Amino acid sequence: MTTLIEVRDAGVRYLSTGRAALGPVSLTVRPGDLTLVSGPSGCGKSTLLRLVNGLIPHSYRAEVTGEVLIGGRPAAGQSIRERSAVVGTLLQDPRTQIVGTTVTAEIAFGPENLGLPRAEIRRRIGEVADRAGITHLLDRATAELSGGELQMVAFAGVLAMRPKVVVVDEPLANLDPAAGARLMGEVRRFVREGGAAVVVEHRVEEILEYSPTEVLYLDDGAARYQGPVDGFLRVAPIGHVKLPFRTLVDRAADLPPAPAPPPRAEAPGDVPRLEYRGASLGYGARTVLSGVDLALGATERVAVLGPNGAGKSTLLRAAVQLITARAGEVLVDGAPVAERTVLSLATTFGYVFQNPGQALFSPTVRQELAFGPRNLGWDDARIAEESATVLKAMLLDREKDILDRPPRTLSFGQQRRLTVALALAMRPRTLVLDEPTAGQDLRTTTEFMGHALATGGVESVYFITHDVDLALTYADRVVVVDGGRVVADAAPAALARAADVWSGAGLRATSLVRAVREHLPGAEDLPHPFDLARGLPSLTRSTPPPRKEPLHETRKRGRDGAA
Amino acid sequence: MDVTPRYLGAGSFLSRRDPRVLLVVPALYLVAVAGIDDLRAVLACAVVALLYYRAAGIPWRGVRANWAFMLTFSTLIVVANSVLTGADTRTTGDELFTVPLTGTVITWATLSYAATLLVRYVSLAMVGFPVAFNIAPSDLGVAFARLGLSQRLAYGVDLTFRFLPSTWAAFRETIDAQRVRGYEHSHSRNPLRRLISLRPVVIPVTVNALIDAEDTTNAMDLRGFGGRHRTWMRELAFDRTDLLVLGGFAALAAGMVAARVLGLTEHVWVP
Amino acid sequence: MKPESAGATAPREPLFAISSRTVVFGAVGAALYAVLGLFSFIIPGTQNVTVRPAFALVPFFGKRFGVIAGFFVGFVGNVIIDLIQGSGLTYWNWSVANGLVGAFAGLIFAYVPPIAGEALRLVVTAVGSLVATALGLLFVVTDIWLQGISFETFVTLNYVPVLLANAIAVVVLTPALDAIWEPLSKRTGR
Ligand SMILES: Nc1ncnc2c1ncn2[C@@H]1O[C@H](COP(=O)(O)OP(=O)(O)OP(=O)(O)O)[C@@H](O)[C@H]1O
Ligand SMILES: Nc1ncnc2c1ncn2[C@@H]1O[C@H](COP(=O)(O)OP(=O)(O)OP(=O)(O)O)[C@@H](O)[C@H]1O
Ligand SMILES: [Mg+2]
Ligand SMILES: [Mg+2]
Repeated sequence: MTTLIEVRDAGVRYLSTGRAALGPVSLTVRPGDLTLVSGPSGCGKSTLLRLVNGLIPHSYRAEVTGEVLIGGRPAAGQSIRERSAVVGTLLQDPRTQIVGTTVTAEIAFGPENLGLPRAEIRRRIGEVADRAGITHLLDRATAELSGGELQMVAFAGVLAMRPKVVVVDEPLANLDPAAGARLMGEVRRFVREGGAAVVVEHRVEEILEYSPTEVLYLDDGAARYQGPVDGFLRVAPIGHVKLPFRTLVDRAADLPPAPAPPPRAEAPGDVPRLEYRGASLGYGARTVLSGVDLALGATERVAVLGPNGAGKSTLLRAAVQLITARAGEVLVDGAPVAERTVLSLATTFGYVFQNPGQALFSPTVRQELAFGPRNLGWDDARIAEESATVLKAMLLDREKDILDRPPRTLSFGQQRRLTVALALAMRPRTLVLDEPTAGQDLRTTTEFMGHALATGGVESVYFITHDVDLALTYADRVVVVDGGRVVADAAPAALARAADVWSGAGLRATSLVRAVREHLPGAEDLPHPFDLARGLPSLTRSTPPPRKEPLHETRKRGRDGAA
Repeated sequence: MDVTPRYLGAGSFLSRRDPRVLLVVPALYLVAVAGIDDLRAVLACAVVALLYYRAAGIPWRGVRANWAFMLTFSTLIVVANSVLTGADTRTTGDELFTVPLTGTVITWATLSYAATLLVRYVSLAMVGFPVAFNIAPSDLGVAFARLGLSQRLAYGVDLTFRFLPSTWAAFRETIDAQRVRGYEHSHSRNPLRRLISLRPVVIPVTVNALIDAEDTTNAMDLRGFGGRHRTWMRELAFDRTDLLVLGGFAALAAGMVAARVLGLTEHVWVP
Repeated sequence: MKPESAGATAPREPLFAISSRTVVFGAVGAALYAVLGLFSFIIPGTQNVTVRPAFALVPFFGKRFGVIAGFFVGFVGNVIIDLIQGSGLTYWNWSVANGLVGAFAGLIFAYVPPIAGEALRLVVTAVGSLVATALGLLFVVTDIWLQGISFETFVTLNYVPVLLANAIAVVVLTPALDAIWEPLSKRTGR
């Protein structure tokens, strides 16, 4: 059997920083393989993919050691173009990799560059569009597509180049579970039909459904584990990787104590912080949400779930008057939001946007932190003091002389926490987080949420997410938005048991949800997954489903792979 | 506001033309009317321009605002040009009146000349509009490529239109993100202060766009962009009508240039 | 494609090379200029000095991404603004002038050695951009033939006011942009 990708003890050092980012790592991909690459943020996953698809060394200046073979030939001599005939790459963010104005143009892009005849290109477009189930989108403008649709179109664009193996970087980061499932389903199908795939992903549990043949767990650039799935589940570092609930039960013994639930502020009164009365929200001619009746308490932790484009962000934007209700009304602390000034709203809600980079403009973190408070007319002494406090609250004070760093040079995770710090610097009473943990590993997520929820002075936190388990674990109330309405509004435990929710609304029941249904019929509130797992009787334990002969194959390869 | 290009003239005579025609005609027309001072000559050209514009079938309500802008802007320039600074108006003919402040003498010649300028601007706009509203944005890149522009730059034109809507969205998002931090756009009379107050918007929008662009570059390299030969899905070919239209305008240009060389159109026409 | 031709960490490309990087950054810049360029304000007390803040982007892209990208940003960006606003292609020579500003910025800074000192870099950036602006906009002199205006009109009504307005934007915004991008240009992507 021909090997498509052969990486032997390869290492990468970026010349810009002089730091070794990867290696030594070995990886072998043959037709029919679905390799899952996981590991904490910054461990070198993307670097490995760049090494395979040729961006290293062709686009990034980096020093490469070891040996890489693509399609059986040494990669050294192959240009990115040549490699693209074997390796197709799907980058993390579909927004940035779409180049066509229309879907057809986007899919045609690759074949056009290969200089194929028009007839052939047309045939391929029809073929891949049919395959990815996006035929109905062909004439649409890419600017109008939802995140999920975009990701599918981007994938079709890659398939149109007829690669033998596709490498996918964090495909699930910005997608709702259903869209993510559709994409992974297509990847799986591609593999089944003789292709191969390397998938980088933090959300391990979701990928396991598609029975990867091998798992490569990187940490700090080196392979910590390489081999079959069940072996991985046995050794995977709990609390760093999102494992299926079953595995938690099986490994109940080595579960760490669950993080203590952050203290909650006592209710000042029973006036809701944010209330919608028959509100309908939209943009221009288009109504996104209608007839919303919802009251979010002043001390509640509320999670908002829903598919891409359902209107989650729209819903919470109304709270800070970024859009005004076209019907009904929106009340803040009992008074119509329209009567509040931008500034007074800014001190009530600390709003953190989806994309952290969006607001960062100052040359230093210090000036960045000062911007909001200065608009409030605070004096420098107070600003300096507040800045110090919020940096500590978001764990950014550990970074040495961070106050003088340019904000955009911080790591992605740090930028995220900085944006929260910026919001906190204005002493808001409610924190609003739009997809705060997208594309981050479990440990960062846990830390992040812990600190966001525990910050002093913040009475309540409303957060939007696609991560169902995150919502169930950290919220004491979950609101589901879909089809222009609020379709569910319940406590986590109750929501988990509401069967109908999980069929629609772009949501999918995670193993945690199933576990709750199974083992906690009628429980009021949800214990932390760790406690739940520990509490379960051992008879519910199981051994992972045997996956015999692919196992041997991968185990063997896993070994000689890791020379 | 809508920054995405609007394709208004669908199905019209000009929309059925090869996009290259719509790009070349304005150039030819420009050659034709450049440096003509004779109102009659410009009017003659304007008639052709008008016919051309009618053939574009652009609905009036779609471009009302654009014309309003165009007319006010041109009128301003014309007035400034010929009336306030009388330099260009050969002061033949008898004086009608004098402009109070500047003291420019207004003669029939002045007015005739002003009219000439205005007609020229308006007719230029007429041949220019179809470029904006009768070329499908996806056709622009290939049109330029087939007009001899570098394949890569030609694709850059396509790419620009791809980035327009997302840039607009990013711009909106950033303004929102800053507003929740208490940002309000300054309406100070001091231009410096106004510019400084724009930094919280202009800088993040730009920097984000640049950082994303790194990814886009990678994505394009990974899909084989930049090879010597590139197919363009859209197939372009001049048909007979295209050639006729081009030929017509070429003739017009040639004629007018000839007339200019012979000095037939260099004098301001006074009735 | 030549190895190391992309990536912000790569050495400066040949002046007139058109890599996929040039294309993408040109396109991104043009889109930015077109969108942000729709906003302008008149300096109070003058009738016709309109400041278009986004103009600062043109020399910035010229400096950072080279002659070709710079020209592309100025030219295409301005053409799109005109198309959206409705002046069509009537003032195409102004678009060329915008493009030339970007191109000149690219040329000038190609020959300025990298400067370590923050303050000095800001000043040099501002001055270089100003020179590029002054040179590029000279192309508007073509109005004398295209629009049949007099030299005085060109100077008093076209060149000087526009140069003035754009100079303000360039001095205030271009160095600011450049200062923010400096540390980022060292690292590629995210
Ligand atoms: N272009 C670059 N120049 C210099 N260093 C880089 C570059 N890209 C990544 N690095 C560094 O290399 C290491 C690995 O980065 P990489 O992006 O591969 O991590 P990752 O596993 O993909 O992280 P994430 O899960 O956040 O995407 C990190 O320390 C990062 O800071
Ligand atoms: N500024 C805007 N102008 C016009 N339409 C918009 C705007 N912002 C969002 N929309 C549309 O409104 C709908 C809801 O958008 P919204 O961002 O609220 O969805 P979402 O639930 O946050 O999706 P995601 O999970 O992808 O963030 C989408 O169809 C989107 O296209
Ligand atoms: Mg990565
Ligand atoms: Mg959203």
